[in-house]
Amino acid sequence: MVSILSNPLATPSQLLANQTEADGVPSSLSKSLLWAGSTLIQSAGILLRLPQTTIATAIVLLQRFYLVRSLRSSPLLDSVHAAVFLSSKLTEHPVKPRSLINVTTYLQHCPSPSPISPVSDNEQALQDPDSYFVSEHEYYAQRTRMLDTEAEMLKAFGFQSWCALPYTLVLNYAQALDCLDESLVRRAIAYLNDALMAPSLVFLTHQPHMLAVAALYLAARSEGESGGGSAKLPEGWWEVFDVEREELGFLVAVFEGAAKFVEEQTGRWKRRGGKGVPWDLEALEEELQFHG
Amino acid sequence: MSSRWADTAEDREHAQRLKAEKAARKAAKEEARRRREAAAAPPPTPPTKKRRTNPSSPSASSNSATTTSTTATSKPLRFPAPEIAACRHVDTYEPLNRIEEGSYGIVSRARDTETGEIVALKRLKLERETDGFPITSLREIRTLMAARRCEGVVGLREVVMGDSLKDVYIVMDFIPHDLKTLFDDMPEPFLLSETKTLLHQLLTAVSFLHSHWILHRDLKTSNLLLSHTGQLKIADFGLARFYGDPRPPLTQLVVTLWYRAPELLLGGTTYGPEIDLWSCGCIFAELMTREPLLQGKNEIDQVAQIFQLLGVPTEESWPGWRAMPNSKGLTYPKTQATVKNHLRTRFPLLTAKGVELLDGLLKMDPKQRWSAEEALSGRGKTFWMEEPRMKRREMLPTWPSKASGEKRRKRGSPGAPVRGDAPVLEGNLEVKGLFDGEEEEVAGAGFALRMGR
Repeated sequence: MVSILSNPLATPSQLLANQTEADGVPSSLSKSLLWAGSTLIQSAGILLRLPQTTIATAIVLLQRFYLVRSLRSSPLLDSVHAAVFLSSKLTEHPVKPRSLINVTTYLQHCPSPSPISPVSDNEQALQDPDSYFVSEHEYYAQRTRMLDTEAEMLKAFGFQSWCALPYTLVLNYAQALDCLDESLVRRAIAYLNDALMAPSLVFLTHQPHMLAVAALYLAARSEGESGGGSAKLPEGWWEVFDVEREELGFLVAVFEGAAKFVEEQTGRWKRRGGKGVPWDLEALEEELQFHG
Repeated sequence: MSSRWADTAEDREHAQRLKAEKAARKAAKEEARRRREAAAAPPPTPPTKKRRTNPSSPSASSNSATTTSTTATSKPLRFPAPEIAACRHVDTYEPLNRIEEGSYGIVSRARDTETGEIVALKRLKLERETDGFPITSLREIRTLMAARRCEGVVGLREVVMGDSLKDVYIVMDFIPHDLKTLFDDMPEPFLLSETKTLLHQLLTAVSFLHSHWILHRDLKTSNLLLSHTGQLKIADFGLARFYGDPRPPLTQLVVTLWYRAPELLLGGTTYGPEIDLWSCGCIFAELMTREPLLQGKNEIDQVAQIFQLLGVPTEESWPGWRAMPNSKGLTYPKTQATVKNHLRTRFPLLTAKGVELLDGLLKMDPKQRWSAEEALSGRGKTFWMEEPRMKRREMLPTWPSKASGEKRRKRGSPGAPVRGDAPVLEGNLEVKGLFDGEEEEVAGAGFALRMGR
């Protein structure tokens, strides 16, 4: 079923039986790694000049994939590559495998504004292009793994690659509520991008219309607080868009909590110095030994 | 000798057994009903904690008990959400026979071992792929999924995989006929009433696709399937894709040559749904004659045949056609006669309204070409209202199905274009043979003896 309003959703049993955790990875690490993967996608997407719909689709695909697969059997970096590659094709903005692999290598090794990049402790690292040079051999190895993971990914969700995103609904709803205003919509979209990084995987558990309503609610509230917008929405407006008060409350809590979670995670990996996020299996095993 | 209808002891025993079984079933049903009722017995209603959020009117707000009950009854709409589930294995299907081999896959008939239903399995050719899962196959699966609810589109059931990751099969409903094969077997072409039924179904399906932002880009008679109950279904979405507004630049190398619209042949890259309607026009003509309308040998010949039938476009009939990338190299005779439209003489038996519809679908200027909606309920509406009316689809004749049994013949229709660079019509190519034999043309109406309409 393809529709702008509905997505395939995770079942409660799928959420309970987290494959990565069943494989012996602590819950906090598994959540943190999924965040790191999503952040790498977001940063790479910006450098590759991909539209946000492509980036968001890739993040949702990555989340769906790790809903049914384990981080210990499918390496994070290959899945990130595959998710971006697949989503770029699905949204008709195809990227070249070489650009993609170059960009992610750059982000992993060179100090950059991205939260998953190492901190620049010395100026030397900035000027050393060797640190992020991808050799031909390395490129082909990564590309082969990426293409295999892509097929695994399609298989894992039965070719249901459809991803309805809430961005356009925000515009629609704001228009319907007669509060279409640039700063309000900007803020709502920013909240949606926050929610993509949240550990609760709301894009797998809630349909886009609920996410759109929650984002618009928060945006209208914070605009009201800052005194900028005159967005006074009628009481109970969310019911018009088929969202119950309880659901809205939950989503608002998740959206607001995302910022704190991201801050924690950024600190977690930045503090580690040169040894960054365990992107491949080997590093993950090392990390697990360190933990356990 | 007793009558063969007389009750024997055996019969009585059988009747008794049936009676006993029926009683047992009834008892079980009763039991189940009682249990259900017990389960559904209203539990003590918990006090509703939900805050009242939409007071219906100021006067009613004083009576809070009634307003609470009304808010409780307004249920929010919930959308059906499919599960995220892995592909099944192709072993679920038992192969029966091969139907067809196309440029991007092999189609075979198979039986679902669980339900016994007959399906069509299309195996995607992925061996030669170097860029991962091909974008065309992704589009095919996505557009088919998006069009699932349309009865005029072949139903996608699921996608299954074999042992390796390169083994991907699309499972679709099996439909016994395609129109192209049917034409070869039919002793007579379709009657006008039958043509109307088929064309109406085709246009309805195309209108559904376009309203869902899907371009098919390879409509032709061999891609139109016909069920035993006369339901026409569009198949083969191998070239289909989503489009948008503003129109994205698209490849011009789409649609099988004989059904390709002039703006594509002249090198346009920002085409839209109109190209599917041109194909519909060609199919309309083919339904009446069983012969493809314009059988060009190559791109330049196809352009020549189009101009021969519809006349060379002028600045009035197609503003800006000279600015098309490929039209600069074309030379053509400039006389009054060459701009004449020959549709009327080509289809002497078609009513005036029918010719109007055909002409609307075969407008060379894409801006003037009718949309599917227009052809169904706009300017084309009168064609459907006049006699002979559409035949009910169940009343269409039936034929033995080639796809379910014997070997199929190879057909001499050019294949869909494969990926690659589009040929550019460059240089001073003269459209040869364009107006040869014009003297021999019949000016008046033709003659054909037909029974029934």
